[in-house]
Amino acid sequence: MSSNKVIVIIDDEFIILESLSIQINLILPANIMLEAASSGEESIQLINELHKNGNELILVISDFNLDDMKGTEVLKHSISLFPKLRKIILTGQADSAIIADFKNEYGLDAIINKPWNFEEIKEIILESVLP
Amino acid sequence: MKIFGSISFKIWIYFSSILFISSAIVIYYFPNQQKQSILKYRGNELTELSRTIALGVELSLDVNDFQKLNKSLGYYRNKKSEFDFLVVTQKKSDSEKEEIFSQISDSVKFNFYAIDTSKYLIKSAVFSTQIMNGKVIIGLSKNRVNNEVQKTNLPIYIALVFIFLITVILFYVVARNVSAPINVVIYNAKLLQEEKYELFNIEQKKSTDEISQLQNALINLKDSLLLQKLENKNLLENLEDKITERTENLNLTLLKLKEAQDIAELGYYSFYKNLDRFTFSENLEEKLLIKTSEAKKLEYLKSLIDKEYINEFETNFTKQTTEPFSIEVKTLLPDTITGTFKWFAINGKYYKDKQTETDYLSGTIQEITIRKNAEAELRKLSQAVKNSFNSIIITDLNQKITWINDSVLKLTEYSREEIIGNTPKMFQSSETDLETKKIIRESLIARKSFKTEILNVTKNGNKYWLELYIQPIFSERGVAEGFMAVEIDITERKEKDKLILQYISEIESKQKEIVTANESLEIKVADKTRDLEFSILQIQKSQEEIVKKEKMATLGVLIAGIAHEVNTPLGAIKASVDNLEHLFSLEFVKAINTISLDDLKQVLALYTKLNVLSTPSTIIQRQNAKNLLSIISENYPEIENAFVLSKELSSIGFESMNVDLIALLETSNYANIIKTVKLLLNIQRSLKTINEGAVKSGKIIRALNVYSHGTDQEQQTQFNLKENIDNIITLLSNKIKYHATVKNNIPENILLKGFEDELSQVWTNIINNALQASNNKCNIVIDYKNENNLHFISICNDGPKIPDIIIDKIFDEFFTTKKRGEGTGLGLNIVKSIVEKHHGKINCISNEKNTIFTINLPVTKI
Repeated sequence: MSSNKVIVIIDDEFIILESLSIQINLILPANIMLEAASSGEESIQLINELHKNGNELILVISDFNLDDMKGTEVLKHSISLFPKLRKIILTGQADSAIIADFKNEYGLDAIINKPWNFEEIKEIILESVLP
Repeated sequence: MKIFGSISFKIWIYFSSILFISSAIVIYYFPNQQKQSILKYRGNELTELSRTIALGVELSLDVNDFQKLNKSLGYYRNKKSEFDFLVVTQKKSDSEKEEIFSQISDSVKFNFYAIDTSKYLIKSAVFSTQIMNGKVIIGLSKNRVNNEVQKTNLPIYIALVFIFLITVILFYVVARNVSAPINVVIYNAKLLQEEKYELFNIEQKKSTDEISQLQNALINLKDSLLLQKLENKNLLENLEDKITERTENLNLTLLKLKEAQDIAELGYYSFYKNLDRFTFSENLEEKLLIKTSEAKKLEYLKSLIDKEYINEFETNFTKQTTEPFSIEVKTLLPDTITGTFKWFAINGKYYKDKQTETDYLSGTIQEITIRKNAEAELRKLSQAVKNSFNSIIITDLNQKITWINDSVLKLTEYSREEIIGNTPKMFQSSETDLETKKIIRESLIARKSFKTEILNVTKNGNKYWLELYIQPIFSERGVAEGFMAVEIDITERKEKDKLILQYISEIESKQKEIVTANESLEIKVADKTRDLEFSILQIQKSQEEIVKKEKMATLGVLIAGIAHEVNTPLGAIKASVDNLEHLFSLEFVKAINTISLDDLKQVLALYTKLNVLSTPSTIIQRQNAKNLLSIISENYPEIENAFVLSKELSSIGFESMNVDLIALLETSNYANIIKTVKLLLNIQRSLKTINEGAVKSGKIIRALNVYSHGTDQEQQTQFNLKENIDNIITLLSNKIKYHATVKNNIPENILLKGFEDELSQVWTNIINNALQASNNKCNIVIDYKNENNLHFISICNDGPKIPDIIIDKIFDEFFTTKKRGEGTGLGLNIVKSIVEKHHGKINCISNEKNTIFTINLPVTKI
């Protein structure tokens, strides 16, 4: 509606989406919206719509191994619409050349392994909320 | 007869005919008239006489003077010259019959009643007296009248005869003066015709009448004819001489021609196409069996010809160009000499008959059966010789080569030009045996057939052995005119013979070696056996190690995937635990402290109603939020932040406007209620998440435990096949879950007896291979059937086809399609040995659509 600030979380495991969104909502400031998507395609559509409606996407937290694509691809698309976007990759695997490459090229605010320490995420959220 | 045809006769006959006809008329008519007149006259006389007599009778009777009567009657008896009979009848009265009173006749026997009235002229007169009535009847025979008539006519007849005689005289005169000289002329003209000039007997007549002139003219004619005849005779004689000569020559020529034709079996023919008519020379008619005129037609000839040649024959005979043609045709006429059919050579050319302006075909037909058969024979033989696989050389008496077949070129490698004209010595080599050469020389001189072996050399220096058959060739007269050599290449055979000898000697020496070798061998074998036994033990040991290594390698592959699979639920659990901590310590306590009892009631009621155990998906949530937003903005425009509200409502499970929602929105404190409900839900959801996560991670760990446990299994155990495979699927779920599917159709109740962990390796390897080959994008189906007391387990994937050239090798040791260092190449090999260890079999078939691994294991009694 109005120029709301939005955070988007993306993971194909529902238990992750649910637990993480409860976590985030507990510390999220009032004027920030949290949206969730469970596939790459869904997330891209969502982000496009947010952009259309004039929202400001401030942070994307995405799982690396999505069903239909890699999380880095979603991030790439998001950057094209919201260049100042903060980005977090959530992954269950130790390392990946793809993630490293992406970090080198576009920068990542964090690469967080599962199970995650929420403090790290919380910090980045609060930073991103600051005007 | 001459007389009847002559002019005299004609004249006479005309004349006399007229005369006779006239006479005949006269003769008939005149006497007849006379007769009638006389009859009439006599009749009248008789009538008068009868009247007179009647009168006399009357008078007599009137005076009753019967004497007078008789006297008068007697008077008339003497007058018989005037009648033949006289009869007086009386009739006494009317009623009585008439009777004869008196009669007078020549004959006494005359009976009036018996007369033939037609032969008599009968007249009567009636008398009537007082005494007697009656008639006087007088009869006169008509013959008498005729005689009279005749007598009267006699002169006429005589006159007629006289006239007739005159005509005869006339006839004679005419005959003599006309017919006779004319006959003479005729006779002599005939003589002239017949050229019997010497019998000519007319003399020159001086008279100038027509007949004499005619005769004179004939005499002149005769003279000129005689002259001409003489001239002609001379001419004719000359001509005759010439013609005789020519005819003789012609006959001679014809005879010679016929002889020649017969010898050559040649005949001539001509054919008029328009009339469809042939004419043949005699010898042809015989040969072609031409017996009737029907046979001299085109159709008949066609019927004699063999069907292969009919077309050619017909075309040429009907073509009608002026170009000559020459064909050879086979006929259906049997030839007894050769036992085949007759052949004929036909020549022909179209000519124009100038007289009739028609075209006709003319030419010769010659029988060529013998030649044709000879040609066929020759063809056969020459082909046999030409195409013979063996080399055939024909030379003259001086051994100069006159003919070779193609095999010679191949054998000797010389060209035809190089060979023809040379002697066969050109093929011999320096190594050719001298003894053989001598035999050849002597046999040739003796003109005897012989056989020998000889070593020759080709143009390029290659040696070859030949079996040589040489025989002299004789002419028809039996004189030798050359030689024929048939050569068979026996180089191979010679070499083989040599080899055989070689082998035999080798074998003999080898045999000796074998005996000695045998002795030392036995000692060596014992040693080797010991070594071998040791090696086997080594191999077995390394095999076991390799299997272990392979298993570890597989395990390594699995673990990478497992880590991810465990971390995800752990993450969710941790987050949920954090959330619970937060929710309980902060939110829940706050809520309890601040909420009113009424609100609490509402909260609990709503919470119970909205007890959604499964949260709707993010997409649905958003959709619901949109719906609710539009409903709320419409119906409750006073509500601020409807956007956030609709989000909250959808997150706790509202989809659209309903009673509960309306009731809720009526409440003044609805914001708080919603918040509290959400709190409770979040607590519940977090607990659920923890449970789920724990289950998931437990499963994987357990699977791993099962997989790695019992690597040192010593004994076979009984286990559930479905669970065994499910385990593997779980362990590989990280690879499977994104783009692949695995369907386990193994029935629940199948129990196997064996080494569970080893069989786990089998499923793992096969499924992992499929995933790897398809980049984790295939669909795998695991099926089961029980047949012939065997478990059949099939693992089918729709990944890429295993190429035909390698499918037989996939179970081989160290066979791999992966890059160096990527795989041991032992995976399927070990799988195979595990299956076989369980007394089972494994095979693989692969096509564009599916790759199927089928493992069968014996059903063991449990």
